[in-house]
Amino acid sequence: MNLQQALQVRPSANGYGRRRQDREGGGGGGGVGARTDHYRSQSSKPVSNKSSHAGGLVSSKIGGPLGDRLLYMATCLIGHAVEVQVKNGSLYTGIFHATNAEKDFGIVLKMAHMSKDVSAKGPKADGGSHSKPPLKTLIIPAKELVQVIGKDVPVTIDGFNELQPEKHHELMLDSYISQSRHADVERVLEPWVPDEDDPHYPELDNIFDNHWNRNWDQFETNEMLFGVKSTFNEELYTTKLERGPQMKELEKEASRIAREIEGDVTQDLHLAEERGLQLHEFDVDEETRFSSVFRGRVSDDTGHEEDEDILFNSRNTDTFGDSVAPITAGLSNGLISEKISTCVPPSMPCNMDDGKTSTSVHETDSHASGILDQTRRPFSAVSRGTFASAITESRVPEGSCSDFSGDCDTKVQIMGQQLNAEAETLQSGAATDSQSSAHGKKDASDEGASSSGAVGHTFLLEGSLKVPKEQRSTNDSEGTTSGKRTHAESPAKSNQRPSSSRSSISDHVGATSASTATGLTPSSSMGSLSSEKSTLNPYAKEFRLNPNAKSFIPSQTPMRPPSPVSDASFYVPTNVASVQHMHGMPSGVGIAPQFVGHQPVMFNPQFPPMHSPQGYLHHNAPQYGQHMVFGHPRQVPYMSSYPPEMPYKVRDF
Amino acid sequence: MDRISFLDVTVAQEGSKQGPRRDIRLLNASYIKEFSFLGHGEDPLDLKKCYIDLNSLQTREELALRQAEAEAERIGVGVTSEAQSIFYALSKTLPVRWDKTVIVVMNEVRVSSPYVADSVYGGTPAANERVKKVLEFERKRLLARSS
Repeated sequence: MNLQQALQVRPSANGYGRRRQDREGGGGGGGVGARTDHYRSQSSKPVSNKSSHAGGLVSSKIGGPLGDRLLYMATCLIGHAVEVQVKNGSLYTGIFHATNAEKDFGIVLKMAHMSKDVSAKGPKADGGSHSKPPLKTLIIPAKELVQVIGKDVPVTIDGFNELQPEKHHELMLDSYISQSRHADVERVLEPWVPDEDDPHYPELDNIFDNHWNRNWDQFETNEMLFGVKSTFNEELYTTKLERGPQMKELEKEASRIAREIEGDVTQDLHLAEERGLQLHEFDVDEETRFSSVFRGRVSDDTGHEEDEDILFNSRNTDTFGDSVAPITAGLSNGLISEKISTCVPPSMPCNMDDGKTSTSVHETDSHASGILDQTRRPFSAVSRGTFASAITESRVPEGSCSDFSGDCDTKVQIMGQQLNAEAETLQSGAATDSQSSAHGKKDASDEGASSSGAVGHTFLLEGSLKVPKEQRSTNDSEGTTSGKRTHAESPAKSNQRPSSSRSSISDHVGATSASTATGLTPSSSMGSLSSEKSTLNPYAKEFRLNPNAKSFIPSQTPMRPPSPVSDASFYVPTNVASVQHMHGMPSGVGIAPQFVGHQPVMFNPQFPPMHSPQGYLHHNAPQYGQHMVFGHPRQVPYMSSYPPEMPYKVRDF
Repeated sequence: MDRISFLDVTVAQEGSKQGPRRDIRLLNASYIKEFSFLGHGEDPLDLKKCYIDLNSLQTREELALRQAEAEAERIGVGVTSEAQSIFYALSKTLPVRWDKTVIVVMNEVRVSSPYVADSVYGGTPAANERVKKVLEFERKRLLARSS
């Protein structure tokens, strides 16, 4: 404004104005201080002239040579990187540290360097400026200063306190890092756009859909392209598929089972995901959808589970009648055939025959022993020599794989054993096991080639074999309901079972005896039968109520209610004598000036020693209740008048 | 420029961005040769309601200083800009620091001027090899980019 004013005045014959103008004309030059004064005086002039000028201003608010506005702006810049242009045109970049607001506007920059050196001969690349170490402190006097530019300066506008603590910390590391590379600028990135959307490779879009029928042999391709001879031998990783006379049958059976499993309706998110079903649950977050961490039973599944069990039960009976043949050979209850090639232990002799695959994966946990009988049936059936593999894909992490293999050697336990220990959670780690078992999914298609191998070896994983003696964790919460899953138990947990179930892992679809298989399914859900899903830990000690147990009483007697002090009118706690009767009065009340906040250690010798517990009572609100200790001065005057009126009960400490 | 106040220094606020952050330009009034009045802009700043948290400012400054110092460490004193770019390139994947005009990689391999594969000394053979490879690769890249 001042400037404007000056200009305005120019045409006038006002000497004063002219003088000012002259000064202006003088340009930068000296006399800064004088000018400042000048401006100051100007600003104090009546505002009338200025009103017509733009930029309203500062005039009325100038607090000093620098207007408030300026001051504010300058303060906002502190700590910010600025560029300063000086008289000779050079540009300095640094962190704005301070400004000399009292006098002229000289500024101080820290860690500054010259970003543009006009005095250099010829253009200097920006990189060159970095060849000198930055100046720790750079002072630019006001007369050198042409302008200060700050970019992206947080400024509070309209009182919104946007000047929040900027989370500049190391969270910004990435951007900071990328900035520091500015000396190494690479090509500018542009988003990719496909060229005319050429439909040349439509199959790429669904290349993973039938991944077993792709007609593409990676090894061949590799060899062709790079001349790399593959030494891959499938049989190193999985059980040898024995293609015998029963191939066809087994294959058929396997595919049937696969279809059955896959087509099954499931409420389980994970299974649905695998099968490509859309379970429309809206409030599941990514973790729930994809994580194998078990977080507790999903409520829907619970219901389902029961239903499923019941269903299975009935199916069991239908299929097998009531005969129960004890099954000894390794039959597993919950079957999960895992396609874990690494898990396939070559030695599963007994399993072979008895390999029992549950076509459906059942929830093992739920099943109580009641089912036992029924479940045996399938085994017998199975022992006929056909076995269906429940091909399930489990999410067992590698670790559990090895577990399973370890377990393979254990004998398969008859279902009977399973069951009760629902409580044990499968999980090795967080419910992953449960998941693993849980999400057994028969994926016949996966077997692809192997399915043709039919028999193969099916290894059954014991799902919820709950051998009572053992620590088995089942995954109750698997809750996948209709998804018939069997839970693989983590062998690690169950290894001590003498009667442990054999985990068989079937990674190939073995044809199972059709009917048995079907029948098996339900039964395999071990417990599908009774809806007992006990979550009991069989090893837990039984709880017995001890009637003699003392109820807990905190060491301190409950705070004496300030009841005696019902009268709100007295503020003063008391004088010495009466204090004796006071409970919990903090020491502050003493005669001598004490701070109120002090510990209730009695200063006054007359006071009986307080019990320690009281010592720790807060001498704030609770105790005071109505009687507040305001401070010694207050106490003093009342002291003397008190004792006789002491309404407090006498308390003996 | 939507706000101007004249004093010794002019505060101009470039309204190019909206929101809490602005580009601020402080102009020394004496260097303004001429100006013309375009219109009365709205004062975005209500002086009554401006608050400044000095603590956060201080923190910000300290942080900025720290970052600047760290950045400064990476700059070799008296080295050519080519050397500096090599340093930056190496620092993307290897821990490097300056020792006068020598780039020290992983504290054991030294690369001195002219920063070619031949000027790589020291360190275990494996480290040495690696640095050589990275160096060559980065050089090729720089060449490709500059051409």
